[in-house]
Amino acid sequence: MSEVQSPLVEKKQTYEAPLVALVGAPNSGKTTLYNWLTGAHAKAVNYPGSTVDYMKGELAHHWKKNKINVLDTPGTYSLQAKSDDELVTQKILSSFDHELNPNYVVTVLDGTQLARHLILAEQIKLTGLPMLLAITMADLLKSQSIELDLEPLKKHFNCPVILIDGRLGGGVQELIEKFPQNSSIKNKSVIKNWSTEELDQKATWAEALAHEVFKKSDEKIPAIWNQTMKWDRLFLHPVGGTVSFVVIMTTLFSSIYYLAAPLMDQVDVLFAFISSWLLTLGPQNLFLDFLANGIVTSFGAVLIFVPQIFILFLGMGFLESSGYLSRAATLIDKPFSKLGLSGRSFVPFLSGYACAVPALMAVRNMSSERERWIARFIIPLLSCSARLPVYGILLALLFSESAAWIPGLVLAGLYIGSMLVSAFAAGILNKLIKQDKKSFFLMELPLFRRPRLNVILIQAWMKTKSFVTRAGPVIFVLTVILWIGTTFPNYQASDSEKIQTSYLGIMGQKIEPVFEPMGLDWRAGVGLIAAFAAREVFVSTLAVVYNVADENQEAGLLNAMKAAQFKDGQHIFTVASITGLIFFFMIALQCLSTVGIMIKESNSVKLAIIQLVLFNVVAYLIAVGLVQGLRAIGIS
Amino acid sequence: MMLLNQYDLVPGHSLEISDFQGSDDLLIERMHEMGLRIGVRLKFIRRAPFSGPFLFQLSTTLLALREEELACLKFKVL
Ligand SMILES: Nc1nc2c(ncn2[C@@H]2O[C@H](COP(=O)(O)OP(=O)(O)O)[C@@H](O)[C@H]2O)c(=O)[nH]1
Ligand SMILES: [Mg+2]
Repeated sequence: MSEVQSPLVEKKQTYEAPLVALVGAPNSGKTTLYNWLTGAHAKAVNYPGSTVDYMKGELAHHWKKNKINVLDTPGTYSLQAKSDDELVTQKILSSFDHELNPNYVVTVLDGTQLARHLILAEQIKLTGLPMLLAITMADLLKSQSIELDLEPLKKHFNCPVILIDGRLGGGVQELIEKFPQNSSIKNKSVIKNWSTEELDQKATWAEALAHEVFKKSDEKIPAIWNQTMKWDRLFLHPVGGTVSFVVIMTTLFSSIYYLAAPLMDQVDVLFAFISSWLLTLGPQNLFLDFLANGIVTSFGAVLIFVPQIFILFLGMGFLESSGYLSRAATLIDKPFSKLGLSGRSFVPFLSGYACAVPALMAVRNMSSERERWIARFIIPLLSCSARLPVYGILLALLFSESAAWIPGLVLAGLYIGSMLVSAFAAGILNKLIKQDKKSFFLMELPLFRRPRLNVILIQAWMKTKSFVTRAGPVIFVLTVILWIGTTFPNYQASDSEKIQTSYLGIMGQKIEPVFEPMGLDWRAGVGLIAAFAAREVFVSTLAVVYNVADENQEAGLLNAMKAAQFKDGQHIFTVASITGLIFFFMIALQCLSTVGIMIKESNSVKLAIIQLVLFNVVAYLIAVGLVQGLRAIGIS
Repeated sequence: MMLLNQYDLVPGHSLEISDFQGSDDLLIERMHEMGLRIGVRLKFIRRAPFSGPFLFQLSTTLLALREEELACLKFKVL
């Protein structure tokens, strides 16, 4: 038996509240128990150097106890970590130099999986940390009239053993009574690394012990699975499974569109209202303009994502705790594995079609660092909803004389195109990033269960809060900078003149030669730069720079764009230049919010900048190539 | 009792693990942690569509293994 890292460091006597960590296998009921303990208190925390996040909160007041902190840790099958999120749990239990290292461990064991989960319990026991065993799913066992004799467990582990009914909260009170009252308990923690022979011995021992605990009635447990097996016949059927996968995912992502859209509109309307109200207080007042168009708009730019993020995480939480997510992962694993990804990581990709910002946040839930890098890199290539208005106006220009189904078909083609481009990029990255630690698929498929709404709501809320506090400030600052660029120095002029003579406008004119190969003039270039605030801003900026009168903006803009000419009288928006623009938007990373969240999520400004430059340069080169190519074959 | 390979599996087959093979030590360790060891019996439930992972029942648990993960197991069909 080898012992790894045995920092026999004794945790210093402190006067802080004690910290209780919930540790257990995935789906063992940790988060459900966490919720019973803490009520609605939750804060996302990260172990230093890791972006895997989990919850920390105080014991709820109604338990009437002294202050005790509770930590929900990433699920792990063993303390011999095999993936990055398991490593976090291992670190929390093994090194005693951080505030997330617990004074007490609640080992959460799924009562229907006792034999296998006892191996982890034994490993935790051997760390020397004070602990108790919480056996969840008591209600399910009871439904099969399986009775448990806890004495053999108490005797072996020499610690309290408590049955938990996660549905109704049975056993939680008793559990809390066992928590330590202060944080002065001295810990010394050792993680034992078992060889496969030792693991086998432990497994044999665990099965015998479980058999004793169930008083030989464990053959009744598989009956709990009957319903799940029936569902699996549908969800893992080649036809039924594919159809239900498509239906479920379409529902999730269209609800991100459709449920979030009215809420986003309200956020938009609210902030637009505040802005215009501020502006009425003193026209031509720079400070008010800063408040209205700088500060308020920037706040809006952050909060506009809140409905999407909340709904995405609500839906993901629902799929995950119902047990469906593992089925979906199983279904999609094969095609994903071709790109070096695991089926378990498909959710962030799909959500990228709604918006890259929540998708990049969802990447945190992926368990392999390598896959997280690949995902972070290609998500901005997916055709997010902000590209729609841009495609809309460009396709309307391109196909103003054709039947409506043609632009529709082209739009569908653009979505498929973005899928191919991102698969291509993932394929390249898969070759480039070498695999240091192999990731497995091997996993347990959980029972199908009815999720608990309040647990999912709280988790979704926590993620949303963590978006606002983490990415919010970066997005805010970037948006203010853009405001400065489009406002100064000529801030008193009319909108159209202001932007044309602004730093950005001047820059646009200076670098007009850059846009020329794309077949564009500096005004369209300014639109492209302003689109960094958000892609859809391209449309509204064009309206300003091409000086479109307000009534019926879209038709006005279309006509203005059709009429727009270079100084030599040539039309600007031609088949070639529009095609170039469409491809430019397909690839370019034109979204400061994405850059902002990339910086936060990847912990790397460098990566965010490389990505920003690379995508835009590639997009530019492709657009130029297309425009010049089309012109060369006579399509102007 | 006969030796079969994974592609001959039919839903409902019971297997017994007879050995581990291959060089992926981490994966094999994880398999042991999840209760797979020589002599253990598994029931093959089905294969996920489109040549996806294989699903097995191991006493009270449903396990999903990729094709190449399953290739680390030698088993006999009972
Ligand atoms: N019937 C029953 N379901 C439970 C119990 N504890 C948790 N669950 C369900 O099991 C699933 C996984 O639980 P969760 O707390 O998310 O597990 P975690 O992965 O360990 O955090 C969820 O659908 C829960 O609602 C319990 O004691 N009884
Ligand atoms: Mg959880």
